[in-house]
Amino acid sequence: MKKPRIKLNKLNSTQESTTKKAWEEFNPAPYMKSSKKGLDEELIRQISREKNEPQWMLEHRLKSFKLFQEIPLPSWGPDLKKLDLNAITYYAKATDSQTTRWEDVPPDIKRTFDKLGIPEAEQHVLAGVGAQYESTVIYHNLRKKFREEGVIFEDMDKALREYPELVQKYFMKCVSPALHKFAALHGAVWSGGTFLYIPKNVAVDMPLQAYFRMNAMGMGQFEHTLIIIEEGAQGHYIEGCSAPRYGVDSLHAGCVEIFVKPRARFRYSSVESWSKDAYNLNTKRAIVEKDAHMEWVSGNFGSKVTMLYPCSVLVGEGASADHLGVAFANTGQVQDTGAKVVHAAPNTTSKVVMKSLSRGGGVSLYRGLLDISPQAENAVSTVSCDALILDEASRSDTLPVMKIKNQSATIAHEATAGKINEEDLFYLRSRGLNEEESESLIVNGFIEPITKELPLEYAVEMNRMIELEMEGSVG
Amino acid sequence: MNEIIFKKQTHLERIFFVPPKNLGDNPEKEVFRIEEGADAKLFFFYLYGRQNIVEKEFYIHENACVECHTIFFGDDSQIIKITEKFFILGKGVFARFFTRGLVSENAKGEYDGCIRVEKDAQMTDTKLDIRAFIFGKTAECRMVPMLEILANNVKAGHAATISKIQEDELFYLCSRGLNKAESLKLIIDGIFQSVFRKVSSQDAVSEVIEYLEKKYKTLVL
Repeated sequence: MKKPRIKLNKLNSTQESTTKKAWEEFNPAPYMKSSKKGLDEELIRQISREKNEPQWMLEHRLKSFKLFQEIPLPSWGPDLKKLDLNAITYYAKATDSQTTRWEDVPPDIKRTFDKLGIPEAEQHVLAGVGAQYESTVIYHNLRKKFREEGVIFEDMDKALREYPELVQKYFMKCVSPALHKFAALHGAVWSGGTFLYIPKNVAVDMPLQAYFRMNAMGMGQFEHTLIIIEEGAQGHYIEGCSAPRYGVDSLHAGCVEIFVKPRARFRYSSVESWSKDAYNLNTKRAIVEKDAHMEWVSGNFGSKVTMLYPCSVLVGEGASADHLGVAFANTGQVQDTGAKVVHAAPNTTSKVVMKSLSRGGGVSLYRGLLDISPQAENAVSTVSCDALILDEASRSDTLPVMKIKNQSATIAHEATAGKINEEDLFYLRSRGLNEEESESLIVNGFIEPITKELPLEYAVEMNRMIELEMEGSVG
Repeated sequence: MNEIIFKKQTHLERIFFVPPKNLGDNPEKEVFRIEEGADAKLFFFYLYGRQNIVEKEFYIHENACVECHTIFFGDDSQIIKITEKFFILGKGVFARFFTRGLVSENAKGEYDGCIRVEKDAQMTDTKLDIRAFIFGKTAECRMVPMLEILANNVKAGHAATISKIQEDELFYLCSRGLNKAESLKLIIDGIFQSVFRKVSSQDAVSEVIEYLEKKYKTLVL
């Protein structure tokens, strides 16, 4: 079916204020009084106790905590020394219960998700929704039709209790806690998140969504997303996230693990709009087996510092992966994003298309890794990174690393950086658009290869976010 | 540290064989300063020596025009590690950096190239273009072409490809009566010809071709 063309409508002031309000408003957080800042073994044991977890999970948390204490901060990338890890609240429960009905969600929390458009999207376009508020999932639902086909779509805490063998088999086997300091931190304090299991040959033809919302000041969110797509199955999962701005650092160190079994197809889309005082240090990885296909579509907005490099490990012959992404770095922001692809089997292919924008002194970096193993005969990969630098104060860097250990590989990489073409601007202005509208239109055209892969509603949302980021870009 | 300066308003071509044939050691870090308005063409041939570990920095000033070609050829467990950093310091610079290389038979080729366009270097046009070929099951290649762009009114880009010698090209030449070694030689010559054509010194080109022809015979198909 041909996708409808996305019609760009300039936000009117009411729409602008509604969208902005949805992100930036916050609710009172009386539950924070019973939560503490900083991390110690006692808090980890408390988390595990409250969730009624099996012993193996507590042991996993404690081992991860030890690794977290031992592994230093990364010596490359943005400066993380200013992040005071002792000032973060690692676990806070806003409500004790989870429901499958929006009417039963506490009113202030429901209002937040209403403004974000989640319940409405669920009615019209989604197969299921999970909504997380602070450290716990407060709403989760899946359409009956997919439940009957054996699809499991639960929050992680519940999945651990109801499907312990399945979770234990896969949990942090794709992303090891030893990978880096924030993977270890995640392994110690993870809470909430999504468990998605699609059985063999089942195609979920509507997207499933999870939305993660931080509310309180100085909060940390560490949701774990574990996705298993069995042989021949298909699915599309979308994650959205946001947090209000307080001027105090917050931390997001989530983890996404995806297992794509032979001949399966899976798309993971995310639109991240953290507040501009959040450190977004997420880890995402997929293991792709024989003849399977994995797609990553991501939009990174917001946050003070983002370090995010979705990784596809192609372990089966004929496996393939596409990485499409947009990153927008505005004033005071560093978007250090990219893609990692490891070709570890014959006849594997990958494509990476990254678009970045920087404005108002923002810094955008593409950091990528392409690794062709000795056994990866006839691997083919193309990487394309384009950067738009919107003013003199901003900066763009590209650091792609290619390690090729098989002579039959065919690799192509290209990158460009520049500003908006004056002639394009002139043409649009000659058609009656003002300078700000013209710039917005050109920028939306620049990112169109990415937005066209999202469901229409999310593509429109991403275009709106671009417009809001572009506000005041002229003059 | 070796420093070579291309003075203002000069037009100069320099050819470097790195390292010199009869020496085992590599030179230290090399610095090249291309001053305002200078027109510089540089050619680097990394052919000899068990280990070629080289670090070069280029400081390119306002309105300079630079064309830099690097060729490397590694076989028989040679290690070639080239690090080049191009600092674009002033406005109006036009620069093209080309690297062509082939690694075979246990050789390891590593190339780290970075174009850094400083804040004041507006209206510059720079590009880094790398093509590498891997020949043989045990050869390895690592490439990192980087861009650090601090100015907004610029054109900057890089492109990199890594592949093997295409079998259908070999097949075509063999079908025309050439044996495999002759076909391989023709293809590799074609890869490097884009550089050879630009070198004004025929003696230098002849030396490189003579070296490569000896090497072709040892390449295992």
